[in-house]
Amino acid sequence: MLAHIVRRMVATIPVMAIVALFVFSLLYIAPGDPAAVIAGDQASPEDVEKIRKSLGLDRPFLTRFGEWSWHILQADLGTSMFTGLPVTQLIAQRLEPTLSLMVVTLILAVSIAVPMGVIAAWKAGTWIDRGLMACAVFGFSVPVFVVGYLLAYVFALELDWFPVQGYTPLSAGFGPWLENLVLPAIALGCVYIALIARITRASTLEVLQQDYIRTARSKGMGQSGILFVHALKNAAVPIVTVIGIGVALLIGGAVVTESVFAIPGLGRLTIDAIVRRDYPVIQGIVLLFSFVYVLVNLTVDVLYTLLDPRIRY
Amino acid sequence: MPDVLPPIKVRRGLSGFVYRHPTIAFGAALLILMLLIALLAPYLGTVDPTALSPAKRTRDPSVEFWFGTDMFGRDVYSRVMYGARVSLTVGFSVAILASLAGLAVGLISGFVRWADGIIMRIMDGMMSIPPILLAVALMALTRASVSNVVTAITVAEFPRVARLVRGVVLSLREQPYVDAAVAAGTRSPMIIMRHILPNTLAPMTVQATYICASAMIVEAILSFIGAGTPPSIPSWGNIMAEGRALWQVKPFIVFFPAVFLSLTVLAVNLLGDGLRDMLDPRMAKRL
Repeated sequence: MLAHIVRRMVATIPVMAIVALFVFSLLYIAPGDPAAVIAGDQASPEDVEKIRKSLGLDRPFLTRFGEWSWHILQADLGTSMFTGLPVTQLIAQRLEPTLSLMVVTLILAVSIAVPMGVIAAWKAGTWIDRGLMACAVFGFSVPVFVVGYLLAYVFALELDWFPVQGYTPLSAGFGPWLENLVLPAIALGCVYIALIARITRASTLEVLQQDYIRTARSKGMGQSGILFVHALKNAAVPIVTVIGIGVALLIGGAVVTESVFAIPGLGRLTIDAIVRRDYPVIQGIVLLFSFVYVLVNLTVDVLYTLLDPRIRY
Repeated sequence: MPDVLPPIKVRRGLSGFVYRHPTIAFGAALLILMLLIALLAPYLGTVDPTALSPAKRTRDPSVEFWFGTDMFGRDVYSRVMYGARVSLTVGFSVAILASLAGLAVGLISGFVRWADGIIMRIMDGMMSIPPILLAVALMALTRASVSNVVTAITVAEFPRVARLVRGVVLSLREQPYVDAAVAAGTRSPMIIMRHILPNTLAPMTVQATYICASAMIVEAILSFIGAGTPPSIPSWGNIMAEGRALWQVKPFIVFFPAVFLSLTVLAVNLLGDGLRDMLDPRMAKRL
């Protein structure tokens, strides 16, 4: 088993290398002249040349890629063009809020979506099922920031149940920390919940038609036991897959949610970097998030063997 | 027994179609409504969406300004109607371009065996980057324009289509009738046209609708964070971005485009779900 896990881990290295190569190449495949775009409309030719040098566009692709990769391996993601600070330092400062938001959203989404999907599958064809799946389709369709503004307007401004914006670090107490994260987590989690609920329903539906479910029932097992012990465990593989894939949604949505709720995290850093066209920061964040995503999917792969002992590579 | 049961009435024509596939009907109707809004924007009682008139700024919705005015005095109703054009253009363009690009790459990957490994690794790498971040990174390097937004989102979305097409090609290569065609000396282009393409059409169409919905949302998000369509062109994301500063006191600037965007995306999603149920019931079970 351990050998299998190690093998999976080693297999992600080429994927990460390709992701790094691709992120690096974005500079080269972007249409137009990126140095001129970054320098801005009022820049003189010397400014553009300076920017071109700092981006490394004047040197051959492979040398530049080699240097860049070497820096990455030493955890040096470059220097911000705007502030002059190392990108790694900027990211480390803003990591906690984003991480908190993503973890809380993940837990919230899974705890809502999985029971939702299981119940929809159990009551397939009834109005409960149709209602829950209609909610899911709505969850897909309404953009993250719209849900965010809606929630903030209703629950924070009108009803005053939660703070409207901002972030309290965990060190200031668990209650305040959670209070600030509830609305953003729900907003961010909507699409995620919709996705997981649909897959859970489809997967559980297939499992519920199996013979062993009928056997469990005839042995006198209770309904919740059947649903959540037998059915869910067998339906788990696609569900866990989607949870892993959906992390991409969380990452993308975090950028917007942080803007709506004024959370000083990596999303805000990205937005600020875009406005200032601070490309090293953007590149660093994209690289970091992509690596995180690859690792999450690796974890999901390893989790498969725990969930379903029949899966062996 | 059969003579005891009443005969099944088969409803023909449009009403029968609506009865059997309500999701497609509803989604298509809503989408057509949005298309009409986009096409007929100048005739829907709108004024110039970029006309500034600071004297009339931030008025609440009234008889004169159906959706109110924004902080520059522009009529929000007109901006929302014209905004439909940008969102629908981006959505459809990305769906079509990503489908074509994915089809091409998927076919090459499926047919040219030595390229398959490399291409799929590159596609995996591309899919490992969250789509919004990829679009953001590309937009940071280019001037803001609708065509650049379309390009950026297409690059982020086409690997999925490529994977899908490659899957179909690989599974079809094993089929006896394709083997027979190859043995009879049919050239590859003919095999592609006669056998591969018809089989890819159904899943690709469904995928294209999901890409369209996703592209519209990504365009709105990009415009919202300032990396999308230039502010001079009214798009739903732009209007929401501009309304952001005032939303606590004048929430309608954000909410009206939000409602239209949500309805359009909902329409496309429903269309996609309905098409999937109609074209391939087996896919429906797998979701």
